[in-house]
Amino acid sequence: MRTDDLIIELARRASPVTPLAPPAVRCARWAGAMVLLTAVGVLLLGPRADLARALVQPAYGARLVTTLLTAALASFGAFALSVPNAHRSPLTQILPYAAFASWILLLTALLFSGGEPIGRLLAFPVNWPCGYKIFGFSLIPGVVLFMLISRAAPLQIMQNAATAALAATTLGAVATQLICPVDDPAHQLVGHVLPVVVLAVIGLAVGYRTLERTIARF
Amino acid sequence: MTAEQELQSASWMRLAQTGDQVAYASLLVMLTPIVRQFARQRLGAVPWVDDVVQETLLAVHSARHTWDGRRPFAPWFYAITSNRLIDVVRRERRIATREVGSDLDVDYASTPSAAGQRDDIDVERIHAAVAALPEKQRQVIEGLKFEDRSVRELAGRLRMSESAVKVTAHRGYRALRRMLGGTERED
Repeated sequence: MRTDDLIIELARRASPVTPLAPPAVRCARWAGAMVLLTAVGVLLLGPRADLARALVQPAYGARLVTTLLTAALASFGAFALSVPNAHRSPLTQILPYAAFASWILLLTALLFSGGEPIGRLLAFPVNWPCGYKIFGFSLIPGVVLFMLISRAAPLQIMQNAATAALAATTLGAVATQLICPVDDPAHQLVGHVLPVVVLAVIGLAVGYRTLERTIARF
Repeated sequence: MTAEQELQSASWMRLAQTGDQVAYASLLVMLTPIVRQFARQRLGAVPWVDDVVQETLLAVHSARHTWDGRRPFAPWFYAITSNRLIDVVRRERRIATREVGSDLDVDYASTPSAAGQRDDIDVERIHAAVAALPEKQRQVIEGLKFEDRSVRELAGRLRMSESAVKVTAHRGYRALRRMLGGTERED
């Protein structure tokens, strides 16, 4: 097809479109709905009995904040990456991973401060229900997030899928931390961070395929 | 893109988002030489600059709802153009290294019937050979070589994946080489 013919064809097919809201607005809408959904899920499963007391403990508060920050930055990054040139700063891509790293570093520091870090890790204090909860809490946010991203125009689909998968899984981890009564950093690393990593990789693979099909529309 | 073009394109894109087809066509016409120049500056005189142009126009079309009218047009447009350019370059490299090389690289000189005719290629014979190909191979080769369509475009039209189009094209080229009596290159 000649370019002139293509232009005529595209112009002929140019129906009115509703411009997408800015990434921050779309992210806020998604986050609002998903936080509500997650809160309902936490209430249904029952938050940990000492949640009010735990929230004022610096260690618990710090790890909850770093996880929440990862989810927030990653979700914003995912929306920003889905719009051409909306991610003007490289920080949009870097900060979610920096926050994720800070969560791991915090847990590692807490692990070492408690003594016998290697022994505690090798005991592999994994609690499978925590993994299932992270998966359950991240499934709907992840699916919705990828649907919303694919409605935009993701150009860097690998980065976009990775950031979105991280957003969904860390949101699941936040919800799970509100339920899980085990504060041992070894358990947090093995039973929470590890499932987040595994699920994020799976989410990346599935999401990449989804976004690839979106790109094929171009 | 000049400042004047930026203003004009933003204005046309706002109208295009409301369904104004004339404004949209004007925008695409204005963008075409800009993309072509952008591609030529980075790629030189490659034969597939028009692929970059067409893929960019298609991407602009698919992504036009993502442009925020309160923001400049050029950065949005160049983000798409750069991305499409990289995609086309990658695709062409893959094709060059893995698939077809020079598509109809038939060694005419080595066949008695065609000896001495290298500068005077028997177009009718090639067309007849293409017509004798299995239907899918024929459609793909006609689309790519006679109608100048892109792989992506053909994939959509024939309801095939892009990889399937490339593989079918490759098989078609091999069949053509056999039919036309040429030797097959070792890619």
